[in-house]
Amino acid sequence: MFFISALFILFALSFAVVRALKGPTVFDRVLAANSIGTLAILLLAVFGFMTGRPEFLDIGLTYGLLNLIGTLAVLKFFRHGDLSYDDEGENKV
Amino acid sequence: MISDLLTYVSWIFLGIGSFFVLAGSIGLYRMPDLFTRIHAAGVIDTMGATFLLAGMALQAGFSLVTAKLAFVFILLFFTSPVATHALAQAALADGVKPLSQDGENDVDDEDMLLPHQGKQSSTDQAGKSSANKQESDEV
Repeated sequence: MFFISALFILFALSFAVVRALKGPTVFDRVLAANSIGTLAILLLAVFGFMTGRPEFLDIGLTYGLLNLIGTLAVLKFFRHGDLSYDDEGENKV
Repeated sequence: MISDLLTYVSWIFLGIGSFFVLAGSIGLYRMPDLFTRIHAAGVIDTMGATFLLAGMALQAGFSLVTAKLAFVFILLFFTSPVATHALAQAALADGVKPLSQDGENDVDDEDMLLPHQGKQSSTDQAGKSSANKQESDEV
């Protein structure tokens, strides 16, 4: 059953990759990258259970944090054009 | 017998979770608009992840592995709505309009602006402010 779950998650990853390549706006690509990150965490957990090694869950936890920070950093860059944008003293974008 | 029952229930949860993951990703591929795709990706984060992690936790019993799975679930529980909301707000601020059929449910531009933006177009203001910032950096 873990093998079937891993296969389904791999299919889902391929669909998300196609959306990342095809998406007309940049936000489609950011969304697909976020989904690829979440699916990778799930695939790591399933793979850890398949091989009987629970250490993969730690990698999944780390990658979850990296996924969130990466998504927010890319969105901030596309919104303000600068990763060091500071909001103090500016009321309007 | 209880362990067999737990195994079968865990298999059912894994199957349901895999189904939702596949359904969400097919929706991500086939949906017509950005905001509908955001919903499809949200299905993966909530239903797919919850059922998959619950199915795995049932097979692990009360151990450190279940605690780590619970941590993964709590992480996804808090970070996926944050990322989804930030993405939708950034898309609206950039001027992406939702799909509407035949002009019904058309949203005016002023309704979609953020509170700190004026009644002008948001992309013009963003272009002007980033250009000004680059000039001041060069000076």
